[in-house]
Amino acid sequence: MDFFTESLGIIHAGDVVSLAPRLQVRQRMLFDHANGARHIISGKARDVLNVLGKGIEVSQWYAYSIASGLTDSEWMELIDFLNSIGGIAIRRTRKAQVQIIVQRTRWRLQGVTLQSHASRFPATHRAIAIAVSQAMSQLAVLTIFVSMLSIIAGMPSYALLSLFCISILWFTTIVHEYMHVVISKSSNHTPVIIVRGLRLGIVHHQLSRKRNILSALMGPLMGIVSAAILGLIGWAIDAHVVAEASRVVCIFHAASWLPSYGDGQALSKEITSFRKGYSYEKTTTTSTQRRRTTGPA
Amino acid sequence: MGNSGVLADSSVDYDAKEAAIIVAATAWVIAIGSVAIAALMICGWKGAKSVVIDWLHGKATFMCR
Repeated sequence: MDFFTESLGIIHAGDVVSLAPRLQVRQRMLFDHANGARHIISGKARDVLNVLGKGIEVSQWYAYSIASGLTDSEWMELIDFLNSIGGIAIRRTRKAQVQIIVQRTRWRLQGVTLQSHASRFPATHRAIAIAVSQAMSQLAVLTIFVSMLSIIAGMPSYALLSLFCISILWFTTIVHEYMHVVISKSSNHTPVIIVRGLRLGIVHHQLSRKRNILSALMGPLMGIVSAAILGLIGWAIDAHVVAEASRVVCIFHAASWLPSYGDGQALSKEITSFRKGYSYEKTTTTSTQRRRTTGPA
Repeated sequence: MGNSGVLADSSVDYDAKEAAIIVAATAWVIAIGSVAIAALMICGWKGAKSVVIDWLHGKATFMCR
């Protein structure tokens, strides 16, 4: 395990790193044009981020950072922060990618879990498909393994169901995310997609309450509708396993409305703030009425 | 400003929001995998002819080949 991997697990020696799309360093600020964030940065951190512009090899970047006056821990915290906002773009060879996956799996089996890299994608059709594929890659490997196991255990129908489920899930998750992107773009902003392991989210500017509710409702709904259409097609052509898989996928999309998860969280936040606003309005109106009624006749 | 020399803008949220779909799917695939492993353990390499799962009572019946 090299120094970089041991300390963070995000970047590895030999990687070429750069600042992710929609991020810009200007004076003492790190602007995130995807959501309008303005992070304040120190002079030293600004110099270190500025060299990321066109991409730099990790060991060169580290040497530059130390020469700029950052200590090891400051440099690592900077990387940690950048990763928390999906701010580092990493380029590595296919061979290095495979080596890292093998290494990480070995460490995980030994009980060592390293941080995962948060990737940022522009909100284009192709990038949405790539982002969803990346988020689902581990699930795909697991599904293939489980399908093989099910065939060995004499349950081929389970294997077929799992494979159909993951295919339908892949397609409908793209539709689900695409809906979020469309609603965000309709308010003249360009969002980005951030993928962290199995988690995938759209980072966008603050939307109006109406659009936020619409986005939280329409994303899962479009996922459910597209899965239901595939299920109906499966049912019509007597492919009952497709219909069954679609039903399961519909439940997964509906799970997004649970208050502890993304879309459900956004909905409950909006409803709570609406209620607070409503009760505030009610209180204000009542006290105005009281003032009116108790005022001099 | 912390050690990193960065003061993050606290007014924005970077939480990845769509965990539910893929995490739920992963849990489901793991559940199917567990049934397959159970079938192999109970019935051996011949495997199971059919599996009936009673979710309400938490009971699974394996018909071996």
